[in-house]
Amino acid sequence: MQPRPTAIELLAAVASVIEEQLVPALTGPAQHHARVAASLVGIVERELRLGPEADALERASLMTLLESIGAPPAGVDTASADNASADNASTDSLAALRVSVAKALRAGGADDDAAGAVAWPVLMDGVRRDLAIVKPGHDAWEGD
Amino acid sequence: MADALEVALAAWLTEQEGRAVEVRGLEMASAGARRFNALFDASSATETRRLALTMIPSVAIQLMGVDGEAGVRSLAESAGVPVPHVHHVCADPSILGGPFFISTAVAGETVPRRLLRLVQQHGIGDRVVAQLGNAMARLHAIDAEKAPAQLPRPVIGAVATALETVNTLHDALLTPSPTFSYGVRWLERNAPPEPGRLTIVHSDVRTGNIIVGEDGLRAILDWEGTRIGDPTEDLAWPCQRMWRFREDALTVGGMAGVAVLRSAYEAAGGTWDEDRFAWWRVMGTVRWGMSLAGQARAHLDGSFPSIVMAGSGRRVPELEYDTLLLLRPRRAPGRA
Repeated sequence: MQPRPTAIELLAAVASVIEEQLVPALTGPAQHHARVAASLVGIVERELRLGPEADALERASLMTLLESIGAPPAGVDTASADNASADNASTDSLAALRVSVAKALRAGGADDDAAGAVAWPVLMDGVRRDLAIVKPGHDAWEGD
Repeated sequence: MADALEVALAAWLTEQEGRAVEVRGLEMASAGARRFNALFDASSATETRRLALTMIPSVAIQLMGVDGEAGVRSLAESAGVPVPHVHHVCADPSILGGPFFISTAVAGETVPRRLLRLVQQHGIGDRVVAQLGNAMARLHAIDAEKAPAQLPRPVIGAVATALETVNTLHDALLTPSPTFSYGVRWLERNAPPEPGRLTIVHSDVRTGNIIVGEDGLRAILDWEGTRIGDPTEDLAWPCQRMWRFREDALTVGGMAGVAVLRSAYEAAGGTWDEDRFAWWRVMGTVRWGMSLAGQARAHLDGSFPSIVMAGSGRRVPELEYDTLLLLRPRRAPGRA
């Protein structure tokens, strides 16, 4: 086990060095790149904190959605988890699940109003969880 | 570099204008991958002009040749669209290191947050948006046959081309996006008929590509993406949420509501189709969101390694969210 600071604590320290020392000392493209770097460090920090729960919720909600918009395809079941480490299997199965849901939606699985009314809130909840990591506050606006 | 550029510019302008021209005070205005903008003073015996140099550093990645861009700017100017007047065009890359053109430097604000502050301070949001509506009506009224031949023209129709583009982007996504899959499907099912008339489309009129002064709109910039297409696309693009710079309630570029744009566009002879407008808003959002994913792909595959391009990949959820807001199911299609 690594001693403290934790990864999250280290990233917070890195972000503050970039923001408070590097950004003011730089100009032009380098300054812009440093700002982007600070923002990406913040994203990684939030992903470490919020990512696991967000992924678990997404997996559950996409599984349910897939049942209502199309048949669950082969390869998304939990059996594949036996052959890989738990972490990889859960990431792989979420990616495979996203592929299946995306394909079903692209093929018209949510064309009718009832299916659309089921799919939209599931997609919205997932996107809001992603935004909590990459751009907190972006979903405060709910107009068009 | 500025000194060498000043010397080269002065020599070229002296030759072109047949009089001694001195160049001073060259300053970089912006430098991107595709273009380089600088401002300078050109002095002759009788006058000093503040001019803008636009140079394409690499011919390989230019969207349209400088001749085409300068030509469409002049055409727009003659139709009453506010554009910086083009004085000189040079397609020869050996003079300054890339093809370039020289236009009048228009004073005013371009940086989005500062521009919106100026607009608020002077209460000119409605005026600027109405001027944009008027300018776009004038641009779209130009006979597309008169446009420079370099402008890309849709071979299979403007709507069909856009659908083809989003399909290609969708199939190339490294991370599947259920939201964009839903969006592409919606675009396909709700596509309007091809427009009755194809026009010149600037394709990037928005906060960030305009110059505003306290008296209102002074110029529309960045004509490199101009093409022939559906005029409604131009009206929808400045309404993207990302061009509002936190002024979310003011749909058109953070400055005014859609009604202001529409009435000015119609008053100047433009035809407004609400369903088509709604469709292009969704198209612009979905297409841009997937283009951001494409930027991340260019970073990852090594074709354009850059932290900015990498970061674009994590901006995708913003555009997914904006897409879902436009496709909220309680609203009927076309009224999003």
